[in-house]
Amino acid sequence: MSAVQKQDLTIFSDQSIIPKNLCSNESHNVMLLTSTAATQPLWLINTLVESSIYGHSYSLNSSASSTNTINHNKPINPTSSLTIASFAHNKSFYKSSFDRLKINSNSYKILDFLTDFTMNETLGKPKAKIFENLLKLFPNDTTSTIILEQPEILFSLMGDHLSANELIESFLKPLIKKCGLLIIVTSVELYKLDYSMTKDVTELIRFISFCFHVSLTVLSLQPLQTGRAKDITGSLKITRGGATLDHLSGKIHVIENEYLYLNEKDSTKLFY
Amino acid sequence: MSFRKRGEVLNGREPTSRTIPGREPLNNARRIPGTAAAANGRAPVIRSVRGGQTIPPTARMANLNMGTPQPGHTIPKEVASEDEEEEEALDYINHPGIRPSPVSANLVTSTGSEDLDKVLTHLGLPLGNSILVQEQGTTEFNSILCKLFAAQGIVHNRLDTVPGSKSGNTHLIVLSLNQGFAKELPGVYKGSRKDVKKSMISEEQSKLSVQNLNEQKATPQRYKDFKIAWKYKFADEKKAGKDISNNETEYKGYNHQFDVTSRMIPAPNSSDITFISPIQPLQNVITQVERTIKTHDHKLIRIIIPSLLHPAMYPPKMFNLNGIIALLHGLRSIVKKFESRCVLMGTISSDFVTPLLLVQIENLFDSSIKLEPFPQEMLQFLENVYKAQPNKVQHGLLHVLKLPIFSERGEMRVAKSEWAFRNGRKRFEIEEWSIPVDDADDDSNKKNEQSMNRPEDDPSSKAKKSTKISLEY
Repeated sequence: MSAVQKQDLTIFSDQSIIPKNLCSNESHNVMLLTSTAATQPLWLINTLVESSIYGHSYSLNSSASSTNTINHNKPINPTSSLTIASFAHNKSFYKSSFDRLKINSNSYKILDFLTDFTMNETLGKPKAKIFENLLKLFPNDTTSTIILEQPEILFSLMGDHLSANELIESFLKPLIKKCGLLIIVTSVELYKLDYSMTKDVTELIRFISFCFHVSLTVLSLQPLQTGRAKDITGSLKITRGGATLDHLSGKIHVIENEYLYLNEKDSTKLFY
Repeated sequence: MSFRKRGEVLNGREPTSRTIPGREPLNNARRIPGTAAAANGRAPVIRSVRGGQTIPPTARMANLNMGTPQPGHTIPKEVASEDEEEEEALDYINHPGIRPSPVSANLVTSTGSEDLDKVLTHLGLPLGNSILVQEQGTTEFNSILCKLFAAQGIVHNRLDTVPGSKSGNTHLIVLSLNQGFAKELPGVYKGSRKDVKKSMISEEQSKLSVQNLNEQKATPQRYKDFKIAWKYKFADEKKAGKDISNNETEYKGYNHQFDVTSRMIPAPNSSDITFISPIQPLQNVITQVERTIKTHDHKLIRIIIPSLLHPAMYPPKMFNLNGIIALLHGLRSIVKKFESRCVLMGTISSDFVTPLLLVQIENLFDSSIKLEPFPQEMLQFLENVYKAQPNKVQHGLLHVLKLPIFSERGEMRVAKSEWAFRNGRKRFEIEEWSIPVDDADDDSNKKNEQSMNRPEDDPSSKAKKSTKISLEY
């Protein structure tokens, strides 16, 4: 694979992963990152975090050893904040991952919605109160970026039945208004396997449909159709979402593209 | 010319191990890379300093209770933390069921099946991780893996302790209503029947009795063996000793072989296993599990959920998303909270649950494998192929869906139809799957070919035949 030319990740037409002016005005934007159990999104989350903080991803296309020698530049916007909230992983998981990339710990905030979450946050509490408590934990800053991993788990953690509408209206929409960019990370494993129209499946489909419609772009990680390969982990597809970028100056648009990637030993390489 | 005998000790000194003056003799304790230096006590302890504050190297260390020094006897902070670190590290070094992963910087523990340990690539299940064993169909191979996992924990617990005493190094938490689970655990494999008989005879002979003493006096053991055979045996032992890899000698008690036809004696008791009912209210289950882990501090905790969502055990409300997923989310939280000394294994029959539920359950486990037993026709085919070697017949395919550590990093580690499993009396074997060549088929093909080339069917042979006939005529 050494002969294959590595490609830089470009999502927007200004050759950036996250445009500098995306979070600078009063707009609220959403990006969607979909993954499967075979192709989990940690490396892409790392890339998005680096791009959000430093304006560039240093870890992508570099070997595991070379990331240690990188001297990160100053954050592009020191006043803006990045919050990552996960329902599937604990704080130490992301902390160790970001420490490995030498990201300054003052640049981000991790909200652990796994450790003791069921016991402390959801059991015996009404839905409205749970959402209110969760929303309080996120900073109210329109220049900030929030990464929300697997919010669909909330469907399972509420004592009463939670509908997609309730999740969207009471949690996702207020969260979008709290930040400049919300990146929703979700698993799409289910939609390949379950075609039944049970109540639970319908609610999950409505949730993912909402995410597609409000997103500027959809980043989709998928394994190869042909199965496992030694030199390719999977593919990253970049497609436009339902939202437009008209509110941004400079006429930026999403570049639809498909990359192959190889993820091994803490390093990820992109190529065509 | 000296008349001193070889074994005689000079100057009446006690025989001691040979040491270099000024140096401490080496002890034979196993050492885990990275922790060996700390155990020595002389080596510097790795620590990071951020903003003038000393931070222990791991989160595990950070959780340690440092204690308050006595008045007038102030221990410097760094020294105190070093001592604590040493104590904590020693537990991990001396635990027979923990070893470092050869492929990552994690500590791992055995699943009870050596082959499954290898399939997981870490030679075990990394601490703070969980594994889900799914099974398709009506067979119960998953329960074997579950029992091996439990039995391995019990054996580790009993390696260093006197049975009945409260101390130990491992504790099991079983989330099941089946209290008989403890009595169904397999015992350690003691060799073939011949070996067992031999060991029983030698045990009998070693007992102190008048008859044995007379026999021993009359014929010493070495005269019983043929001399040449004895030499060969000696040579064989020497040869075998060379083959034993460093790993086997270094981590001797790490994994064991179990005989699934035998039972563990004495059966595990409450000091080995805690049973918790999974169908209680969620709050009670989580609280009880956490309390048990805290009660057995400084022990490795193995949480087991056998036959998850078995309809005979779980009520219908648990088959909803907010039934089972909430429980597993809570358990995942606990495993990650005590990640330095906790592992989880769950088994499930995938036919009992909807794809939606299965995907959500799998999502909450760090690793997942799926057992797919062969249908009857395939088993018959394999039995035909391995007529001479019935022990080679595999029982099904093993698909790897997620591997611990690697999958969450984003590596694609799905391996479908690459492994096959075979459940034997003394081992749950997993080997690379390849479709065997059927020799019987070749024979029948040859026969077919022969029948195809029969003289009646072949026109040229007919001609020959007729020619012959005409000649005879």
